[in-house]
Amino acid sequence: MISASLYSVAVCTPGMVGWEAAKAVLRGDEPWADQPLPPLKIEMLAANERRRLTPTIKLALYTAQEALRASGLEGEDISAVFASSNGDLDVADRICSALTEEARPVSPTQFHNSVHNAPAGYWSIATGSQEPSSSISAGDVSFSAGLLEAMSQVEVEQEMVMLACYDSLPPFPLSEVESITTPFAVALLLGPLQKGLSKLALQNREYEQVATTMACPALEQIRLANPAARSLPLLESLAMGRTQSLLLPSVNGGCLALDLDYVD
Amino acid sequence: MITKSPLSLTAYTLVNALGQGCEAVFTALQQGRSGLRRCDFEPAELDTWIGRVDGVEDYPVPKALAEYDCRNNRLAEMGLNQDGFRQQVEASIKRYGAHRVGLFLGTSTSGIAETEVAYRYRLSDDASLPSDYRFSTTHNPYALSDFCCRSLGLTGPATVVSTACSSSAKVFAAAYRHIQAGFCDAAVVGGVDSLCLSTLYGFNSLDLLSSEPCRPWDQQRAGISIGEGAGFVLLEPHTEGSSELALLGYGESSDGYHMSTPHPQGRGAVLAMQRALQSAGLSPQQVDYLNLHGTATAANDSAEDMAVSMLFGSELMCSSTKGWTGHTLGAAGITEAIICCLALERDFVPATLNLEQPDPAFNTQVLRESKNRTIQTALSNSFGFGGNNCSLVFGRIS
Repeated sequence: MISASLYSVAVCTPGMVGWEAAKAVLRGDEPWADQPLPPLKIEMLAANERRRLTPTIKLALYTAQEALRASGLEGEDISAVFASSNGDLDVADRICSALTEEARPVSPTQFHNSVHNAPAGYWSIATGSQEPSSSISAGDVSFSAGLLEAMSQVEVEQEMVMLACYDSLPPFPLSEVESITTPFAVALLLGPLQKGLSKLALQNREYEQVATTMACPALEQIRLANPAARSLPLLESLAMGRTQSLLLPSVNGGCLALDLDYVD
Repeated sequence: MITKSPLSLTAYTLVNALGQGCEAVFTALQQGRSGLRRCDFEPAELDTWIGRVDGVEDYPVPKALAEYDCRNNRLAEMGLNQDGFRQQVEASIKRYGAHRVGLFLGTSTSGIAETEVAYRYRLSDDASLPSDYRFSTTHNPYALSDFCCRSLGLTGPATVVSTACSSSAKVFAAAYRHIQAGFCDAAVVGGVDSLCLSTLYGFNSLDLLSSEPCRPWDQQRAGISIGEGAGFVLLEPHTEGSSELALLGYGESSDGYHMSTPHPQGRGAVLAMQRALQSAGLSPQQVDYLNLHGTATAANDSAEDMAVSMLFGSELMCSSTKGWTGHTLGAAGITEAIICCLALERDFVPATLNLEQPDPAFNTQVLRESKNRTIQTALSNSFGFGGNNCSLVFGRIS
């Protein structure tokens, strides 16, 4: 078993922008409403860098930025794990389109934004952090893989880790071959155990078990609409202030057993 | 410190422009034969050199995994079939159970070449992609690990690390942590990246492609030669009787400086090397050989030279092997980790190919001739876009 304290949380998806808005929906105080995402302001980056950001990078960075802000900590000493199934398909679409043209005019900015670790790169520029960052993918179960990677870093390296898990809406024509139907990002700031904070503990991976689902049909639909939204059962327990055991879908048909010990 | 629980390298294998499997690669290194050739990767029309693996186009993936068929997964399968690696993984499954063996692989572009082709066959911008095009089993980064889990019969924790050119170095750190945290008992680590137009034309757009075979550390260096490759290592906790060859340490860091240019003084690189030495419990004097990232771009080699000479002075024996294999990007970390293992096990330190006139501004001692030399410890550097750095230490457990 490995464990970590949860310092802060942030969410960004249509109808749930920011943790306060998400909490209200997840507690059932407010119905979920499908509202388009507002423009996401990345205040942590200088204007010259900000200009180069794509919608996917903004989604990831915004959510990490909000979690950092909520923690009241500086980003300089914090490691990062960015988890995303697809990475930036807007960029892949532009590059693949450019490659169909006569001179194959790939844009240099598009190319350096095309790496899966582009959000992590901008994050370290924005925070001035020289701490490690990892960028991973585990397809539809990228959230549990990211959580396991982040919590194993907390446990083994004894460091603070910002986990940001995100996927944006794929552009046409890739939207026709991809199952993501809503943008979603979640960020959790995790660190070594500290009294007074909620505790997450990962037990192990279990097989022949069914992952925890959302009781509310609209939220269950969102959970299935984006790999990062597989975090919703955890977010719901946090919003309700519930100590609870959850099963998160994991790779190779397994589930990751997660215990949340809630502290207000 | 990792030396308290080092991981044995039970088996390893690699495929790249030098050949298929450790013997072929090592023979080429001994004979001084580069794997680079003029770009003949169709339909690219670029004045550059590439490290292409022969036979990938016709290499079959298992029939049951036909939906994963693409250049990147073919190269992965080719790698898994060399050096008895698959048999060693089967033995580890018997020891620990398929669910207790993890798999952590690096790639930068996975099977994006499939999407490039699919876009070419679209009739117009508002047309759908061809009906036989598959995304999640080819282009998606995780397609690589998903394919390899299925090909090897592994059901443990798995992921893809995609941090550009440090991807398949960082997998060692990820595997170490998953084992330490108790989520698996052993792990396959590795990386696969294959030639595609996105990287060829992408690096071309940044003016980083050399029109001659790349010349790391040379005064006249003019950019990289892109290569492709696959490499895999089986990591297990060290016990009596297991392989003496071990991962002794790793160090990770970020530059926090620029998306595609390294910090000019290599501050992130210094930190990654320092952390690797610290986790191995070694002083700089105890390192015998350094395999440089050494891409042959003006910026990388200059920053890396500063970082290396700051930590090691000018005495350490260094080489870049990019002139042999090309820069295999997401597979560079694993390729060079395994070259370090070959150097450790076969008492042979490879030269830096195509190095004629070392940059006079540089301080590090870079080998221009290969040496038959027994070494005890080797450090390998991998630095990626986004300022993502990883250094690994390999050696023997006595």
